[in-house]
Amino acid sequence: MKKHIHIKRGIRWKLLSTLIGLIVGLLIIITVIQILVQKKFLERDLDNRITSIRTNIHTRGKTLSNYLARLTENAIESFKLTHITRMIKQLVADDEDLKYIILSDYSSRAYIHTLKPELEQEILSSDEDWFAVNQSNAIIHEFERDGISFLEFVVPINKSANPWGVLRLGYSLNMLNKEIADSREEIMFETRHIVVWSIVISTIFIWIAVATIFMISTRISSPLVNLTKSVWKLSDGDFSAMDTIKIKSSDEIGMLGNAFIEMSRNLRESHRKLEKYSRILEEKVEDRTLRLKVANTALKEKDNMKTEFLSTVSHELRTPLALVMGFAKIIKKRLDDVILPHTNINENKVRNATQQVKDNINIIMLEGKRLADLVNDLLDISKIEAGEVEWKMEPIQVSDIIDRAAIISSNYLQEKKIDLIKDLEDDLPSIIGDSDRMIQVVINLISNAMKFTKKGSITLRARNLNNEIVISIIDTGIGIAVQNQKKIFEKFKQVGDTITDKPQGTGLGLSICKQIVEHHGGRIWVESEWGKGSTFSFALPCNGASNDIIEKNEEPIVTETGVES
Amino acid sequence: MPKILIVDDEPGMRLLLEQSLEELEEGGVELFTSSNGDEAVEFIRNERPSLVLLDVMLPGKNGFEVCDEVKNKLGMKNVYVLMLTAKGQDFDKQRGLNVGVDSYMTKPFDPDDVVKKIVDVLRLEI
Repeated sequence: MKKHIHIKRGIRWKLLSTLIGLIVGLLIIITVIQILVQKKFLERDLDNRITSIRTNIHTRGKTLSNYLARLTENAIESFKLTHITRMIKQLVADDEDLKYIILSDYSSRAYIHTLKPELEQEILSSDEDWFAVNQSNAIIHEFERDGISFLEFVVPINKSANPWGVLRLGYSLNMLNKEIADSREEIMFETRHIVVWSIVISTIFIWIAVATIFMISTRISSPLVNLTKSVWKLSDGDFSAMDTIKIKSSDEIGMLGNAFIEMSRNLRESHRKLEKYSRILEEKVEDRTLRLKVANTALKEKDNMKTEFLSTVSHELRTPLALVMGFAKIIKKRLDDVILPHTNINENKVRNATQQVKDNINIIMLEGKRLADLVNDLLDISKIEAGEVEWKMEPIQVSDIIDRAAIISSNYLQEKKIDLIKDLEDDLPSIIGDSDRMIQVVINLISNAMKFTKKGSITLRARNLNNEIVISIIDTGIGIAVQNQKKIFEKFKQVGDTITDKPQGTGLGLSICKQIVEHHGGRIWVESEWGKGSTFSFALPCNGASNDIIEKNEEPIVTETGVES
Repeated sequence: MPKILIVDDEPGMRLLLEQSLEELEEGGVELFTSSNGDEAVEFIRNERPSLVLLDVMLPGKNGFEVCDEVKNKLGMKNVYVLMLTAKGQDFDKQRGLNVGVDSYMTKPFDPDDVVKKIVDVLRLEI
């Protein structure tokens, strides 16, 4: 049996997945932190630059606007605007950031303006203008028009200390915005840069990790796999596996290998011992089996011989028995019919002798009958015990059995003047059994009851109790003492005072009953009290419930007789 | 005049049966005895008895063979065969049925029962 090594999620896989996960996670965290730090730094840098640019523009704007305001006020005072106009135009043309300069009075009439075509007239009037008029200093405000941000300086112009108008200088903030946009792009670029580097570094680290783990796991798992193969070989009973193991390292795996070799050695030893023992055991079993077979055959022969002997004996006994009984009967007949009528019984001696002969003949006949019964019972019991009886198992009615047994027993009962009472429950279910044998049981129990009942009655009772038919033969006789109740079902165990009571019957009747009842899967027992009569009962399973039990009980009988198996 | 043949190798049994049936002789029945099977077959063929009391174990032909010979080979179905068998030989019955035995009596038997049976079968009046 060759086993294929297939490991699902082995050590290598576990190490790789764990380490790659850790590296990737770590790099992601580092990258994120780096991006955040870098971004913050760049943004602060950007803010600083924006502030400095703004300050620069403010300073320039303030200085220029104040300077121009003074020049303009002087020019207005002297009504010489030409020079200032030229100067303003020059300023606007020179400074890229300075988009326009407008001088207007409070009626919103522009005296000087550098407006380019795209700037509209509206700029000329706004709330700030009116507000600025009342201010001694320039006001600064930001606004956006057509996508361009402006920073406007509005300076009030006075004429002879009275508000005259305003001078407005508009600086474009586009440069600043462009600076901001550029910086943002730079931040984005930096971030991207960092991410790319992170990925590159991650990839390199992952490859290094994979290579390292591969090497390490190979070093760990290949001896383990080899060891596993050896264990499997061992489990298949191949002890050579332990000789192929070479221990190179002294680490945990080396220790495991050593332990395995040690274990294999012990196992081999145990296995050898076990094989030896099992061989010895097998030999012993074989020997015993052989002896048992011989003994069994001898036993079987003996058993056969016993049965045959009994059968022959009983058969051979029958002929002389038949003659003894037959002639006794004929003698009695001749005595009664022929001899006695012609005998002078007036003579004492003759009368006594005649009476004696009559009594003796009666005894011969009675004992002959007993001998014949004994031979029959012996033959019966030996056949049942030897399993030679053919049981005709069929459904039978309990009432039929009791009726037939009662009819057969009726003559004798009448002779003894004992009443027979039948007490049968209605609708008794049928049982499975051999009806002739069942009748035999009931007759035996009736005749047994009669032996011990001088007067009174015998009751035949049948009841259905828990799927069992219980048939009881109840007498009003002398009863049986408790200590004798078990014994009476044994062979030749008759109860009674053998000195005062002449034993009747064969001593086998109850034993035969027990054998028959037990063969039907039932049980037989007696309940009795000394002086108060006896109740002999036997219980049989009802039809349907009985099948299993009969089959089960068939088995031991088969094994008892079927010795050849 | 009905004839009855008693076939048994035991002299005692022959005597017992003869004595039991003695009273029938007074009614005009003729009794004959035989002690072996072959002789019995010969007798039956020649004398045609009404009834045969037949033992199973016999020298020469046994009871079953005698019955088979008479009932089947000689075709004498009218001869009533009453077999005397020992109890406990259950197989006898089937074998007896196969060869045409009319009825059985089990040893040991009551001589009065034999007489009653024969009176019944031959419809004799005593």
